[in-house]
Amino acid sequence: MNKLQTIKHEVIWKSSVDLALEIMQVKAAPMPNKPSRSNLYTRIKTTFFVSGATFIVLLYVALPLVTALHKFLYPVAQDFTLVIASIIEIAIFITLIIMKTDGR
Amino acid sequence: MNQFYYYIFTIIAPALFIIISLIGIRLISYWWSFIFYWRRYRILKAVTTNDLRKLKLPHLKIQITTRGSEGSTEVILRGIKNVLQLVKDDPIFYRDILSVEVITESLAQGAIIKKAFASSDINIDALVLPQNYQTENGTQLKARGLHYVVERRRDGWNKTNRKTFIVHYDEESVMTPGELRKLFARLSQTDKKILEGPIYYPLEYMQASPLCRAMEANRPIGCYECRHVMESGLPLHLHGSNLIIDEDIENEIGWDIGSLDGQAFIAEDYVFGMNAFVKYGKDIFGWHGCVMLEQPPFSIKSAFKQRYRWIFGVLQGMTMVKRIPSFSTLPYKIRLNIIWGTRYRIATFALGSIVGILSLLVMPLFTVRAINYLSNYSTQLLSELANIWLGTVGMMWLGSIFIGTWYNVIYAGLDRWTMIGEVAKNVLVAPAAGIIESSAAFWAVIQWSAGKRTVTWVPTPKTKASDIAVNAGVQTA
Repeated sequence: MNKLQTIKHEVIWKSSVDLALEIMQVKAAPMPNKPSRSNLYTRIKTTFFVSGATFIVLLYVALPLVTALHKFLYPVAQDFTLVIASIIEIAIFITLIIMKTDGR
Repeated sequence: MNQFYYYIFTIIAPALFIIISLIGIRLISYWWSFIFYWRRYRILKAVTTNDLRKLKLPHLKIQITTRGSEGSTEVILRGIKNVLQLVKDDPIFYRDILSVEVITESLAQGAIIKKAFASSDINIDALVLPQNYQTENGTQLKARGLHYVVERRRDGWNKTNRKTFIVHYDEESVMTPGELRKLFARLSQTDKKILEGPIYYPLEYMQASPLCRAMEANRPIGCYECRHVMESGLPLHLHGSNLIIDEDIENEIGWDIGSLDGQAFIAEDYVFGMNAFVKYGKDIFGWHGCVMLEQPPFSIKSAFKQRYRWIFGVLQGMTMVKRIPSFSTLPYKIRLNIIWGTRYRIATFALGSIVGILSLLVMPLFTVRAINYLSNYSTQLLSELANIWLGTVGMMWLGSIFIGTWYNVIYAGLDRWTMIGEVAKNVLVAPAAGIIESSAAFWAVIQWSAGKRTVTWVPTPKTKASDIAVNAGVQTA
């Protein structure tokens, strides 16, 4: 590489570092997640997802438990009422631990 | 048709029940740690800079090891900026106890980082890995860079006059100032040499595909098990980020892990943990309980490759461990725990795909028969105990998704409705996400069993644009 080429290379190299740095600094915000705001569409979506999740919990958790406990629960009350009440109780217990440990 | 379906069910159901039980037993270990030892999982009490002044503090060297691929610079700058947020508390105080070292294979990236932080209040250094650098044992991939730093440190590079810990970051890792202060306080009081902490995945959260977000929900609860294995001193898995190592120990062991039958190791963290265990025993391992934040893979393809690499890497590591001469001198029970403990963990991960697919086949019959039974039209398909067990495993599985998503979204800057929607969505898509995730592990096991040994190190892309480019097969820098 002759002297002119070396200078040219250095100029390109230095300016490309400066340019890249400028671009990166803009992109690299300390925390990139901007707080979102809920709107009606978000709330409708959330309602849909909560219904879907409830269905999955019924299918994978409540149904086998209700089936298993049917003959013991039946004389006491409606199967689903008791099992779902128990699941909600467990969920509250889990939620309390998560809230303790999530560090907010 | 009904008879045929019922016949299939009688064949599938027992196998399915056994596999679900294997997975269920592992879930119990997560939940045991979650319910009975949650206080040990995280340090919750806030620590101030004033509190730190009263302690005998070690020096923390934050080390970011990167290949320098496209998209990595932005996320590295983000991690360092969060460190500098802490330094703003008292630059003179932190100057002596905190520094950042980036080891990269990219000359341009090294220059950008040096330039960006040339006038910062703490030492932020970038080391470019020479292209022709070779370790004594011919180590490749990430461990090659890690060992290069070790060799430089052995020669006195950035030497400090205090006890020093190396805090290993991935490219995208972030520790908030509050967690870094807790980390200083924790490390000032520990006699452990290798420690790990929990990782959550809230960064760039909504940029990732919904199925990737659901897959990441499994990981924070996995850290409850990680806490248990680190505190019991049997490092069945050691993740390479939020990994903190006493500098003297790291310099002594090094990362020159060589290769396995000519193929580079892709789980250098697991291999390092096993080397340390064989050399120093269980007492050097511990849990620090300070949270690191990272980001989920952006696409299913990237997530699949990442999971594949984990399992393939651990299979490599397990083979290597058995070849270490001193391994055979360990007590029989410990060897059994390491080998079968690792095999069990791989098996439960990989078999998730079988369970997922078979469950989809069995579920319609199971559901119809259960409803008929409840209406007093038919008998039960399974015994009461079997049903209780299946329901409990289901609860533990969906519960772990619930917990993991909560931890991930809590730092993702979402409003309350979106957060609730996100938790619910992850539970809703959990059956599909579980199949995809564990299929990667299953595929890795199949490939390994079929004799495949070749590996490549392509880090998970760190920006959406680089993810698209990498998965489209475009060559990146």
